[in-house]
Amino acid sequence: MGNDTNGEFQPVVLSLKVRLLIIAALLTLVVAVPFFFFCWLWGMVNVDVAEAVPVQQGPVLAIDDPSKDGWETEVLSAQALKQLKQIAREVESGLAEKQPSFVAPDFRSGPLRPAPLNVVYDKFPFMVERESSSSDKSNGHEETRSYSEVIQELRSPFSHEQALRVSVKVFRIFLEEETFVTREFVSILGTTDGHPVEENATWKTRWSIGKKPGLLSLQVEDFERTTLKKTRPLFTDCTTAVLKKELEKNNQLTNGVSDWWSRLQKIYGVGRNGQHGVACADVNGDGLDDVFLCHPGGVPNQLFIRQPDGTVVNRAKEVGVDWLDQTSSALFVDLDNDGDQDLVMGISGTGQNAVLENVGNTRLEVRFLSEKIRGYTRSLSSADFDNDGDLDFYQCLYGATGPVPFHDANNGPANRLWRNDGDWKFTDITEKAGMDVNNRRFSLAAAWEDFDNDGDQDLYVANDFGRNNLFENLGNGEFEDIAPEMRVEDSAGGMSVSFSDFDHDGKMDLYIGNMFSSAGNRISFQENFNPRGDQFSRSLFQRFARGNTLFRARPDGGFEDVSVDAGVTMGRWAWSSRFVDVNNDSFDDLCIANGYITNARKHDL
Amino acid sequence: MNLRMNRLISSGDSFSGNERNCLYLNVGNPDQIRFANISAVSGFDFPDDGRGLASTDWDFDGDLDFWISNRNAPRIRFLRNDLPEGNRFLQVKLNGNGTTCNRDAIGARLELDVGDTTLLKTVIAGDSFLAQSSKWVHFGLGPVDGPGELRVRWPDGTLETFKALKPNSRYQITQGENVAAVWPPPQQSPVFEHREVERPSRSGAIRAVVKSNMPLPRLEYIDFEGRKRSLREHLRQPIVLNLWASWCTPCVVELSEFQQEAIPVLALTVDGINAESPTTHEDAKKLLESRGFEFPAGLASESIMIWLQAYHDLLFTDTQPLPVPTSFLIDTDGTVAAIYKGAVSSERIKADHTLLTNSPDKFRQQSLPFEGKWLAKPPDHKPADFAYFLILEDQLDMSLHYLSEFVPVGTRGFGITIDALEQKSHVSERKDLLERIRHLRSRSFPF
Repeated sequence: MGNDTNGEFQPVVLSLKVRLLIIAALLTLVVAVPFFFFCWLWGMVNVDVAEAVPVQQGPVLAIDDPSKDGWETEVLSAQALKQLKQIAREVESGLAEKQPSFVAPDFRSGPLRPAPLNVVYDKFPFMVERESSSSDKSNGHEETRSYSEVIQELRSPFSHEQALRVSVKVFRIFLEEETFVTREFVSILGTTDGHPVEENATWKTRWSIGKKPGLLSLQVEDFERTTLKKTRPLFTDCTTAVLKKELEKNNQLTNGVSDWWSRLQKIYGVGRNGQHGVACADVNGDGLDDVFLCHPGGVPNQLFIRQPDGTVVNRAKEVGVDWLDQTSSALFVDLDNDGDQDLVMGISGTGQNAVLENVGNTRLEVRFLSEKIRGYTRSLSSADFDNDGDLDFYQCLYGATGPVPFHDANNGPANRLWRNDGDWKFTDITEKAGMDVNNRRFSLAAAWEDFDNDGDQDLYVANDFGRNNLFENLGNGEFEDIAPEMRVEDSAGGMSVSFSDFDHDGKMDLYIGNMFSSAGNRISFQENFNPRGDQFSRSLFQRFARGNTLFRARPDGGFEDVSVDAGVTMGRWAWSSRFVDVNNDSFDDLCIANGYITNARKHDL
Repeated sequence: MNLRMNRLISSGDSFSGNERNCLYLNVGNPDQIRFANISAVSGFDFPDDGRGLASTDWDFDGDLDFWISNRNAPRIRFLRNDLPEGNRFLQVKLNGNGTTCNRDAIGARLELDVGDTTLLKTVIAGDSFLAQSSKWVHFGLGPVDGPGELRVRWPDGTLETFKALKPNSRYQITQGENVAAVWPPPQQSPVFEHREVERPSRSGAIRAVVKSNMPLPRLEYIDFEGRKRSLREHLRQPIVLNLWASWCTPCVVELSEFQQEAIPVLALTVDGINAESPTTHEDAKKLLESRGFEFPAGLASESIMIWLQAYHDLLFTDTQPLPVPTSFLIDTDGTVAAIYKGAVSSERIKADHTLLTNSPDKFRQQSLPFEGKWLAKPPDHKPADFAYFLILEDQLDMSLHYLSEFVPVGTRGFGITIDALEQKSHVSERKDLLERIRHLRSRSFPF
């Protein structure tokens, strides 16, 4: 986007009045957005985005004054973050000769790393060290370090030949009499003896309240160091090598969704959020996985066929899948049991799905297209739920209008269970299967798994803006939503579902992608957040901002939420969150693809 | 998503952007389950707007690689896993019998004894978010000599058991055959170099062919003699409506070229558009005279800019202010066929004139960057859309003006638009508009 407007031309000069208005509106929103987000949760604000009704903009203005709303803490935490970032830059550069003006003259810090560190994992190629339970709390914990010693000590384990990367995220703030306290995640990446090392710590910093908050003290509350015992990272980005031929052909892969915003009419279905997925399957029957990439409306889907040398060639046109319709998801499964991979495609804006038959491993021909409905198709997941020998599939649908109420929205379109009736007939049997309960949610993802080990396929559904579903297969063609009994409702912004027996106890555990919001964390943990509300609603809001959830299967059935103990809540604005064993140690790790909208301007709402 | 927030995002702001992907290591201790953060040391933490994540052993080296789709560029990333040798693996592909069990064996449960534990995996199709991973089932084994027994529970309830499987191997198992057949991967083992994904350099100028189906309004402007003129009077032929300024060098270069190549153009200057403008329309007039420009020209007003910006913003998600120069290629019926932000060559404009003679379907094709086909006929705009959009933009007078001029009573979209306009006028206490809306409505019942 930035490339588009730099250089050759200048913007039209608007009147001072208009410019002031724009600046005022921007400032208002910059400050208001975090509060607005949480007032959403309160259900105070009408977030209906249906274009059929003119939108009232009044309620936003009513909440745009943070000091009146008690959220001056947001202003303070933004200032603190700015200064923490300056500290981060000094740790990176090592140039801390002069103490910055915002650091109090008598600033003192405790130790930056606990001692001794305990090795909690040491299997090639990773070593993990944490604070030992025997670490002596009394010795060396006094706050004695000066600012320059802090910078030096933070840098000390790392090689200074390579640049450090330091990042900070403020996730708590508490006001006290004349000071305030923040907690932040601090991450340092560098190398030691040629090995990549990252340190992830939680800092507690105390600040004086003034025009510019002054840093008074620093304590490290939590610390973990991981070392990669090889010189190159575990993962290498080989996108260019594998997609060489495609990247040279045109800009379809190097244009992000935002790049189409000014080049392609939005009526074709370009969209903002870029909900376009990926599927791996052997489409041409040569035994090797190929890759299907979904694209926004007006941009054709791509089918990358794996070549013997590991590179790919896009054969979407030849195979007949160069669809321009806005596509969110794709699923390759053998629907007619003839040994090749057929395709189910989720069409986003029209709430449709299309089923295509694989003909001779060379063509995919449309055999079924569901009717248009108001809603957006999201993830697809397939299993033979009725054990009749052919595969059925489940279609998640997301609301095209705003969620009401925000924290428990049940006004979306109904998800659909499609039964395979042979001869390319698919019947929507959602209601008949008893799945039309708690089924007006804003669903993003679903996964089938026999979680109770009784031999049939159950289904977990992750819903945005509210509770999730766990549909137990009763074995008679019907399902029952038992999420509350199994304690897996996970009321939050559900984005993804992944099952795995991560602890090797013979029962499938469950990881749910949610949204981690620093602003939400900062606000919902304060005492004056929703003071009229009870503890239940308070914890509900805290839950919405907490992030991803790990449910561990209990020996006696049901699940327990072990997310915090497992330290896996912070998945940022998480989308695909998945169990994968990345180092072949037999224990499944957690991979999270995240981030909402990155645009050219640095400013982040 | 709130409309105002959308507006800020559309004009270039980020929202939870530049977030780095996360990777948490399972330390394999059931009593101390805390995972370790290896996002950065693993090299997994690209700051992309990641969406779908699929795993597969793409290069057959026994560890799982990733394909991750992104909202932003590159739209997909391939991450190769470079796990050093040490831990072992086993990969299994199941084939159901196709009668009592689906051929893909989705739902089959695999139990693999390794040392004193049993690993559980299920063949699945579609999980996490907008993603499908490989149907090959991958077991990491740790540094063991070999796996123990493998039990396959097919979805139809049958059980098969396999012994003496070798580590670091791949097996195909077909239901009922009781054989785990070694599957040899292709001989050619790919070696990929790492290279950053390069984004092509851009000139900065944007050309967008648009299938708009909506005429521009009359757009009245004042020419340099102070006379009131209208866009309409120039539409005997297709015309380029050009926004320019005397202080903008590329604008002047572009206009010279238009003049040389005799491209029909109406040039409206933003010089002196308001009190803040550093230049006046006298500057524009002098420049036109000194260059001997002879095409129709005049002053862009703030009202014209609002019309054009709204027209643009209806068509595109991007809502940044129109720059100078901006050119609109306008057909004789007043519909816009292409928008050029930044300078455009006269060859380009000439070539694009041929667009205007195309059939609607051909024209739609040309408004798209790549070839492809539609499952469902894509929606087209209709004039009522513009009137409706103007309501959302709080331009009620303009909406009513456009509605009465270009949306015949009873045509598609008229009803919903006039209802919305009435509602908004009511809320805004615009009694004058309500009166005119009633008048316009009365036209629908002539008898």
